[in-house]
Amino acid sequence: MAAMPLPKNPDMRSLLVRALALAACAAVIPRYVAGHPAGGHFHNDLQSQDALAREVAATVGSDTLARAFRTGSARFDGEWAFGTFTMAAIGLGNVILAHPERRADYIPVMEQCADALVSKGTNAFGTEAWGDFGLDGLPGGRGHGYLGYSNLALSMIRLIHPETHHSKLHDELTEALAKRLETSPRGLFETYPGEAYPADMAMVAGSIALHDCATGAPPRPFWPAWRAAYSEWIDPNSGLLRQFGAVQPGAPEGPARSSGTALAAFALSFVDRDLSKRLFEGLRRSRANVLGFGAILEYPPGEWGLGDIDSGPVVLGAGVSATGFTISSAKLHGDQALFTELYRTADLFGVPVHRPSGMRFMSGGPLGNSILLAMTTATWEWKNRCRTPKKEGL
Amino acid sequence: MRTFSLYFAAALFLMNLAGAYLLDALGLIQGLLSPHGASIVFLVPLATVFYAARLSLYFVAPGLLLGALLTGGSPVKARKNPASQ
Repeated sequence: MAAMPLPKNPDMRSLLVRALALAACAAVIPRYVAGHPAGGHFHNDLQSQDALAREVAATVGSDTLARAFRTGSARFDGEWAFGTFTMAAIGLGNVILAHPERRADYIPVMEQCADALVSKGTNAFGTEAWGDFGLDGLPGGRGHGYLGYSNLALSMIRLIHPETHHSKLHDELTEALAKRLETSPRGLFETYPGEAYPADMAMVAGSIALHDCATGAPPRPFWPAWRAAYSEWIDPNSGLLRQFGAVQPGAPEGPARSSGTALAAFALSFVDRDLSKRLFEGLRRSRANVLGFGAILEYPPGEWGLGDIDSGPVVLGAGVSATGFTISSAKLHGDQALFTELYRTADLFGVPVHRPSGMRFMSGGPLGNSILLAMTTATWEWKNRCRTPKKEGL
Repeated sequence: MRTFSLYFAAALFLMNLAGAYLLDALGLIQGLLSPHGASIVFLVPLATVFYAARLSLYFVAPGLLLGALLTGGSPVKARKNPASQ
C-alpha cells in the first residue's frame, strides 16, 4: 500500500498536521478523561460509589430539599421531591448491599427518606389528584400508582433493615398494590385518575417482588398472567415500552419511548430478569454514539417528538432520562461498553464536582444526583439477601 | 503559536474548574427550574459560556496543543522571525 504523500507546501503540511492532531486527540482524549471513573462504578468500587452516596445522603438529610424544586407546578415539585427520596433510598441501599460496612451511616438516612415518602406533605401531589391520601384505608383503595415508587424504596429499606418502623405500613401498602395489580384488566392501573403508565406499573411490580424477597413471602400466583399482560405494552418493532396506556381496551395508547422503557428495565430487574433484559435489548437498539459518548434516543427510528417531564430535555433525539436510566440496565445485564459510553456522557454534561464531603454532579440537582446514584450502583446483590419463603402450615 | 495554545488551554482549564464550582454554588438546576426569571438572566449565559469552555477543553485544546508541539518550529513561527531563516 502506497503512503499518502505529504503536501510540499510547508503551510499546507503544518495545517494538515494540526488537523490530524485535533482529530486524533478529539477521538482519544475526551473518551478517556470522561470514561475513566466508569470502571470503578461498574465494578462496585467503594470509593467511586461512596463519594456520590455521601453527597446524596447529605442532600436528602438536610432541610434544603424542600426549597430545591420550584417549577411553578405543585405536581411536578411534589413528584420530583418524591423521586429524589425514592432514588436516594434505593441508591443508598445498593451501596449497602455492595459494601455492608456503610450500613450504620446510611440506614438512618434511608429511614429519613422513608419518613418523607409516607408523609402527607410529600404525597400532597397525589392527594390533590385523587382527592384522598393514598396511604389511608390500606390495604383497600384504588389507583395511586405512583405509590409503587415509595413502596420500592420501602422494600429496599426492609431488605437491608428488617426492623424498620415502617414494616406494618409496608406490608399493607404492598398488599394493596398487589391486589390492584392482580385485578387490573391489562396489567395496568391508574397512577392518576384516567392516567396509566407502564413504567409506573414496573415500579409497582418491582416493589412487590422486592417486598416478597425481603420478607420471605411465597411467590404470588398472579405473576405469570401479569407478565403476559404487561408484555403487550412492548412495541414489537422497536422493543420499547409504550409511554402511557389505557386501562380499558380500545382507548388510545402512547407511543413507544425510551425514558419509560429504561426506568421499567431497572424496576423489572426485581421481578423478572428476562423481561428486564428484553426491554434492555430495545434500548440497546436505540443507542447513539459520538466519539465514544453514548446516549439513548427517546423515540424509535423514524419517529420524532419533543421532550417532556418524563424524558427531560431531548437533544438531537437523545433523551436525558433514557440515557441516565439505561446506565442501570447496562450494568445489570453486563454490557460494560454501553455502561461506559453512557457514563462518559453523564460525566461530560453532568460535570462532577469534588468536595470534601464527596462528589456530586453539578448539573444533576438533587433529583439527578439521586437517580445517578441509584442507576450506577444497581446490583443483583439483593437476590442473595432474600429470605427463604415461609412454608404454609408451619 | 505554542505559547498561544498553552495559554488558551490553561484558560479553558481554569474556566472549566472555576465555572463548575461557581455554577454548583449558584444552584444551576434549581435556578433554571424556578419560574422566577431573575436567576435565569445570568445563569443561562454563564452556563452557555461554561459548557462552551468545557467542550473546547475536552475536544479542541488537547489537539491544539499537540499540533502546536508537532509544528512548533514550522512556518507559522518562522514567519515571525524571517532573519532566522
